[in-house]
Amino acid sequence: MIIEVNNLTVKYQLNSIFEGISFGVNFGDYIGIVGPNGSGKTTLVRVILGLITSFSGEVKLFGTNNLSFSDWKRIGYLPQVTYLSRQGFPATVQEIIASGLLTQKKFPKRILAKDQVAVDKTLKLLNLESLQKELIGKLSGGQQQRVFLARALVSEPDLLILDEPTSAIDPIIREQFYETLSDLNTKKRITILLITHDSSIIGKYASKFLYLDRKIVFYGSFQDFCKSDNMVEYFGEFAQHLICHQHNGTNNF
Amino acid sequence: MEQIIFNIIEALKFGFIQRALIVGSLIAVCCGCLGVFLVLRRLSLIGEGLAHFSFATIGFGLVLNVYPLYVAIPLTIIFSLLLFYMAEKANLYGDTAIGLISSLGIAIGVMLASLSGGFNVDLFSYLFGDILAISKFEALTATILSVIIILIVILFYHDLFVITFDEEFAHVLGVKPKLMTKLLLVLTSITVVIGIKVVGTMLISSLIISPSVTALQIAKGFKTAILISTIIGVFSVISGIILSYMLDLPAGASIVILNFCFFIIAFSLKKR
Repeated sequence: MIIEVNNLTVKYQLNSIFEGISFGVNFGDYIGIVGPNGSGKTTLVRVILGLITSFSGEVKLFGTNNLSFSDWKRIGYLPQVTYLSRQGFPATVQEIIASGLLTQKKFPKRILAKDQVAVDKTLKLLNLESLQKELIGKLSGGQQQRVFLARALVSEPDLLILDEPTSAIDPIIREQFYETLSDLNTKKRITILLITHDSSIIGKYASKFLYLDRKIVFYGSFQDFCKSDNMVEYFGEFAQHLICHQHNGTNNF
Repeated sequence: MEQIIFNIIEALKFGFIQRALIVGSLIAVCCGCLGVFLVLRRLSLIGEGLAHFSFATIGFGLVLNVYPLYVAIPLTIIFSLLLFYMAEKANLYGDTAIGLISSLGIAIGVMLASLSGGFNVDLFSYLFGDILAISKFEALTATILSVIIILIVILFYHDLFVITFDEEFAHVLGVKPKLMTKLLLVLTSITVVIGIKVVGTMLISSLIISPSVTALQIAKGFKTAILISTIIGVFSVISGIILSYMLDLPAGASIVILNFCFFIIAFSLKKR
């Protein structure tokens, strides 16, 4: 199992963000994490990655306790875009993407010619070639998101964790973006954990669905979600229909 | 014009000018590269705080009758780490805290120096620098320390780059952000102390901030920013020293003013 979460509770001051949640992620899964604002989606992935260290319960990454995990080359992470803080930062797109390769490096870390090949390949994959010499601070939010996705992908990780990757991308490119991710999942067998607000779109691509709202409301395949009477009750028929409607025909309910 | 060039060549024959140029340039390289990291991480005021604090430690050295830099380097390093822990625990990185500590540093320095036998020329040189009076021993110490700092920056360049760009994300890249921040603060402390001889405690933060801010106006990449910042720093030190020798001006002040002129030029170039 790639990720194991057992009885996880996270509190912020006196309020709990979520309590006692457990789930597991298998190799090759493509999981869409969905939930309303403030439901703890971002907190969940930040705990998994060890960016939040005060929690109770157990989290394992590739079989290792997440706080002592060090094999970072197996993970690519795309955080939520914080557009304003990048303004004026003098790094080029190429420099940012190459930094994603540091997970494979030991002291003294150097970017070599073969690393440049990996960077060029990722630039091509995400159609970023024309932007490679541009300064990150001068790009639009959507372009920055693609650069950060490239940084997450360049080391060819086994697990990709994406936090709202399409929030700054316009709808046409959004579809292409999801197609690219699906390819990575099916062809390169990269396990994907994707937080999104696009609950209607994610059904078309992800294989599993994790609905979080301070607890796990639902975790399982789309087929099961769409057939579940409990979920119809929870979401109301219209909303559930919206989530299931665009799924690519495998859920014949 | 010929006369000026002749005078410069003549000046370069003096040992004290050669020492000033070598040490000044090396320190400018340290300030130039560390400055880019500090400015982008919004830590420029830390340089100012550390410099002013180091003045107190120099006063301490004068009272104990120990060579001041021996006292200043370890104490300033400890202080920088203390600032780091204060920031972590009590969120005290703010300009107010640094302002408070800066003036306290100068006050303690002046107090200790007066206890050690009153004001003298020595104290003035620690405040505003006296690169032309640098001794062979001081030059050697500063050279060794600067070379070590430059090597460490080169070896940890990528780690420093990622913590500067996104401190939290650095963790996911297997870089230890807290450790790297401490390293940056320790390197800055040493640079600030050895830089005191060049421009003095009052002006050293300018040598850290100005060249990097100038470089950030025109740089087209992170490595280029560091390179430009370093070149501007070195150029300002060399021209400042020559100018001060020829026109009998204080070297430290000349370097700072030249740096500001470079910033204005870069800023107007960027506007176009």
